[in-house]
Amino acid sequence: MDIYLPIAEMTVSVETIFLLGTFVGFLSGVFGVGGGFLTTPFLIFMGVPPAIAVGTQANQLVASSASGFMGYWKKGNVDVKMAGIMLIGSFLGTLFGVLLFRLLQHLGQIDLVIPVLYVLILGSMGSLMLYESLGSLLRKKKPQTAEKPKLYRHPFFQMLPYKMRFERSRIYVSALLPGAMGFLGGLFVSVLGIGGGFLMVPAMIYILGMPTILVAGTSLFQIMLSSIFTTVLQAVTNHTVDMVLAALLISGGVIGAQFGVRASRHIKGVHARVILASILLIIAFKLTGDLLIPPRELYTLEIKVEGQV
Amino acid sequence: MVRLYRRYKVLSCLVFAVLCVVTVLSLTVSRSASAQLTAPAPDLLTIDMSSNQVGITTGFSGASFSVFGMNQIEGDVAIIVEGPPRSLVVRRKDNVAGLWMNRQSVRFINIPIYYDLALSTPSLSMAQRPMLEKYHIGLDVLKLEYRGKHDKQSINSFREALVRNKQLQGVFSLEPRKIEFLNKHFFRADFSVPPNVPTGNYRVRAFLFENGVLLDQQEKQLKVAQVGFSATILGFAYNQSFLYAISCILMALIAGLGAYFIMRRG
Repeated sequence: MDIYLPIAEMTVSVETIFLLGTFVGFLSGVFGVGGGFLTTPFLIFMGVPPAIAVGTQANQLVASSASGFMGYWKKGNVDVKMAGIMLIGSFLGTLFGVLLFRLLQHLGQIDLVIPVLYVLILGSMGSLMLYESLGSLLRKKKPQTAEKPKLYRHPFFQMLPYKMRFERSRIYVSALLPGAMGFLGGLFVSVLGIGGGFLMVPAMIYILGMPTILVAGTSLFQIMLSSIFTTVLQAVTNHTVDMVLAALLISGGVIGAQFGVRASRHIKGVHARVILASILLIIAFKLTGDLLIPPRELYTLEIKVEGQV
Repeated sequence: MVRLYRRYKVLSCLVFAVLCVVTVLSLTVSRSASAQLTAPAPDLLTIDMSSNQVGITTGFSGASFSVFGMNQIEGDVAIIVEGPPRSLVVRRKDNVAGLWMNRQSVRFINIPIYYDLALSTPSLSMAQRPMLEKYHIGLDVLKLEYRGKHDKQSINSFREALVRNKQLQGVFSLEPRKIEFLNKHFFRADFSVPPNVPTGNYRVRAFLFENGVLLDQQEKQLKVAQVGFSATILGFAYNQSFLYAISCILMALIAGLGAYFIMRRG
């Protein structure tokens, strides 16, 4: 069955989008990732304009982060003050990201920048995760937790100004750190259509020194709020949020997540990380190939909207 | 005082005389011009369409429409379906340090977003090239104007790329459609538009030629627009964008929280 997307102004197959949503929902159920890294490139590959893919993905992220966030909120594992500081940064990051996206589009480099950033982020995260999980799989025992790098003890992070006490996390750090992380998070959502949780979580543990139990919920809270802000900004300024596309992705995601959560009870943590790392690396590999292999069609067209420079 | 009045009189007479001459001249010139350019009698060609609107609904998967016409005099007929003109940028990828990225670009102006044509003759032999160019008859004669300075060779490859890509997208015709004559004076042409047809006000123009001379032409409007649910969403997104954003977010939040509660119960 085909459906016409009113904002993207194109016809897509309902089954394809729904299956994509279901698969991404499944992944988020198993691994607790948002899955934007999978949806955005796939939508662009299907011919959805990059701006609409990213804008709509922000809307989809609202749904997936909200359901994840609720779980942590109920257990009280969210540092609201920390998320609030991050949010200020993420507002600025989102604003900057939307402008940056426009600039890159004007320069005609958006279809270079998005894949390159994806390759860098997914490639590095994927190989780190694969290295770590394969290592622990081969050793057949848990990695020793005592050897965590304590970056937050580093003098550079200690001497930053505007120190603040975060009662919930029991830490005393400069507000600039969570602010900067929020900024980066906002940039991720608005330029790449990804929540960036897989980057944010380690940063919060190693750089802020937050207790591990609070990290996931706080990061999801921040992702939820910055994707809400991105959705509003994209819908109001660029009209790049397609409600029909978002509804399809979200409904697929809701169903997929149910299966994912059920499946996750039967998958070992290490195995799950190996699979996730492989998926990240496959996408990074595919995107690298697209950048390096001579394209069959060298020329691309872009219709200018009236009034746009 | 009297002298001044006299001067006025002379002046006004002169102006009047000049005006008269100009009017007469223009009348004769225009009459001779119209005798040269357009048909001696009106309505040698009449067309109508099976529908003057292509409505894009939620389940839209392309549409078709027919153009019917009467020609009083036997001749060659061409029908052009043309979307509104737009600016568009054509970019060319080049290899930079191993990466394929956009480098050169050419900005074209007044490019129809959609172009299709039907002919009664197998090829564009019905008229001379200047005539075809003037009325946009045939993809080959589309001007494809551009901005900026570019050397001739590269502009040609950019033009070719523009047409090739538009054809691949299905919004430029690959080859002319056929106009079928039901009898000598009654014809029809069937057009179809793809699912990705761009929206806008299209022009459908028909031309009647006899031995390379344009006898008559007629133009109709074709509106390509979203209708029904799609149009409602589109209008909502553009006219009340903040409310639209809020509804998108509410939809996502309800779905997300709903998923959480279902999951918890399971």
